[in-house]
Amino acid sequence: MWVIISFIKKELRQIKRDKRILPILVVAPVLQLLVLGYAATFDIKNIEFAVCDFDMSNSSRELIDNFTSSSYFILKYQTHSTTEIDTLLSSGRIKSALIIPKNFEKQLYTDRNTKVLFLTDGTEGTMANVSLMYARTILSRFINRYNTGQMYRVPAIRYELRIWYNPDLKSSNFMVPAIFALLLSIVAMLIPSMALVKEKETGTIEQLYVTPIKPYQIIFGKMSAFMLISIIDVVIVTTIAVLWFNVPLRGSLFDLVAAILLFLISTLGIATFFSTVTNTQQQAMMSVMFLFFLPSMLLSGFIFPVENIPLLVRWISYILPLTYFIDILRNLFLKGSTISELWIQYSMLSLIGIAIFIFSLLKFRKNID
Amino acid sequence: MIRRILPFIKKEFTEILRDRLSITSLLLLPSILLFLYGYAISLDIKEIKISICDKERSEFSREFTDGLISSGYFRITARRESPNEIESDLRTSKSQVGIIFYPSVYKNFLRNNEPSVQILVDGSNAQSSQYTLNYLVGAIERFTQNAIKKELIRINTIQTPTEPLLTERILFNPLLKSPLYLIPGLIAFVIMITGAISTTISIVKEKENRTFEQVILCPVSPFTLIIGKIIPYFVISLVSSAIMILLSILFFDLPTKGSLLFLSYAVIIFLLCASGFGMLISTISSSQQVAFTIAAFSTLLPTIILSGFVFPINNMPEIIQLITYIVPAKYFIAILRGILLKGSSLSELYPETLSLTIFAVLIVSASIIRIKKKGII
Repeated sequence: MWVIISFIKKELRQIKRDKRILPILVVAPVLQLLVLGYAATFDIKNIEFAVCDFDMSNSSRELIDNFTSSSYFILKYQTHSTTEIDTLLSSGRIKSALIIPKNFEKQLYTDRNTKVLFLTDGTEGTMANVSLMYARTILSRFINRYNTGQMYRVPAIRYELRIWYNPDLKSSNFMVPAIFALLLSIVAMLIPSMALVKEKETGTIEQLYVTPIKPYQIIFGKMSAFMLISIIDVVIVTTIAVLWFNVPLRGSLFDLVAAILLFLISTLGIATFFSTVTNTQQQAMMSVMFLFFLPSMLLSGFIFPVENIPLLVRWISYILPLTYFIDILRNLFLKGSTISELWIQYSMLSLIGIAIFIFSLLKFRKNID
Repeated sequence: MIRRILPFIKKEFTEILRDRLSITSLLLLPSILLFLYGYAISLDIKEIKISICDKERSEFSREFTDGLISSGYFRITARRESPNEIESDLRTSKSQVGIIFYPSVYKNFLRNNEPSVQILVDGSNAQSSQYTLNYLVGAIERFTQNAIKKELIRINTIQTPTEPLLTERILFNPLLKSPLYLIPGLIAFVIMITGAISTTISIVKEKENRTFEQVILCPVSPFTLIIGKIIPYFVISLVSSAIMILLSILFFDLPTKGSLLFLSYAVIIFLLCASGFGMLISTISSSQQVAFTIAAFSTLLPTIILSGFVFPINNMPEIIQLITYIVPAKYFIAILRGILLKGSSLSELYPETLSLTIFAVLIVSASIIRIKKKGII
């Protein structure tokens, strides 16, 4: 035990010696959470759009009003030429356009079919999808209102809509826990993955071999030091998430701490693994970047839903600790889920942690022999 | 000047080429990554799962649910007996929407009374619940429309209801295929990371191993040394980016309507931003650990979140929007989408092209000035 503690001390002193590392490890996550927590928003509002109204009637103006008063659309241009609409769209100055043909009002009163054309830019898929849905809803409402104006008695569906867990649909409630998880995995992975290999590269590891320190003590000592630094980050970042972004913490603190510790253990385990199988810091960095960070960001459900990933690739998601950790954090924060409800995620995290640690320890021992 | 740099470039190339593994990975890794992720990720919303508790069992409740299902976005995964079970379904994420019909919903519907349909939506996933809500509201509006029509026919009015005809046209990516709008973002992400990291590591490694000190004695300026060091990496990255873009045009059916010359210009400038950034990081870091830490923090998340790759920039708070101006990937993604999907020309994209060029010039000269002033060690 004493050996490990003095090893931790040595490790911390070594980290402190480079004046830049510690501040970066503490300040960078905080800054990033503050900026990215606001930036990662799925709300789609203020879609820039243009109107080309050939009818110029009361009805057409009313329809346009329905669009602009919805807060989804911002009217940027009003023109009478479709070629101008084309150039506006292709230069990206507007995202969608509404074209109302001549005789819109006349057809509305006499014909059964009224036509309007709605154009949207498909290059930003999410935006396109959402703006289409808005347009459809606005138009159906317009028509329903028109039809009901013509009738004596109108049935309309009155329904009660309740949104649970995140009633304002705030994106930050959903994204801040995930950014938190990702930042934590960056902190817990960066330096630890290079720690052992650096000693290998500079040859100091051989000096450690000849001391009576056992291999597992070296690994535990190194990893505990980084565990401590990560925990500082955890405390600061959780405080920001809860107090600044007002992410509701509905689950129990104990469950949260358990999840964080399990996640740190498995991530540090993977860091140790990279550090034992590579020979230079450059190799360690490259493998961490491409084999860990990229998949963690793209395949963990951080932004792109895991269930959309083809099964063959989804196996990668299933071996990433971040997949389970993000899932746990989101459910724990917003729904107040407990360990018993999330036992699969908790046990997968533990399993990955234990397996990778044993594997790297064995590999490390073999290296010594 | 050039005669002085050439031997360095030669030396660096021989060193890189000697390591077969690293040269193949530098050349092919970007393409492999692009393929893996290009196929894997998408933002499409799969069928939304609904739990239903139908205490009414009337024509109305049946038609209502049929209407939802026929919209193609919903699937009923569970039929429950009590509202409590619906609640636990939502909590454990077995379904995202719960619909409860209380008795006499149909009578209430016709009399326009109090609501007796309760719709519960799991809002915890802010990403998909936006769609869920919109689809729900849309489906209900359409259902109302049909109901009005039926009612009118029933009471036999002369006036036939007007039916709207919304002609929708999605431009540039008519099927809203996920790869088409994600690929430009992925290309930017991969170029930024491989470009910045390979440059920064190649320099800091020599700094840490003190091999620069040996060369410092030669009559070459630190500037020449650094340029000679990064040109080979730049060339390799350029080749690998070209391979990546060509393959993605071929395999992901990108329309590529714009000019290839403009495309190459944008790629070269963006790559210059990435290597310039890597160079700048290496001038301020003393060890590989520091360099890697700075590079990871400054490229990974910002390139994904602040670039317009997934999150539309004009929905961000204004202060955050200002920050996105210093993310070069933002301009590059706009240019790539323009050229590859819309066929935009330089005249339509000049603000982005100009900004990207200015950014490249600034970042490269900043690192050169730092090297000239402080040296490299």
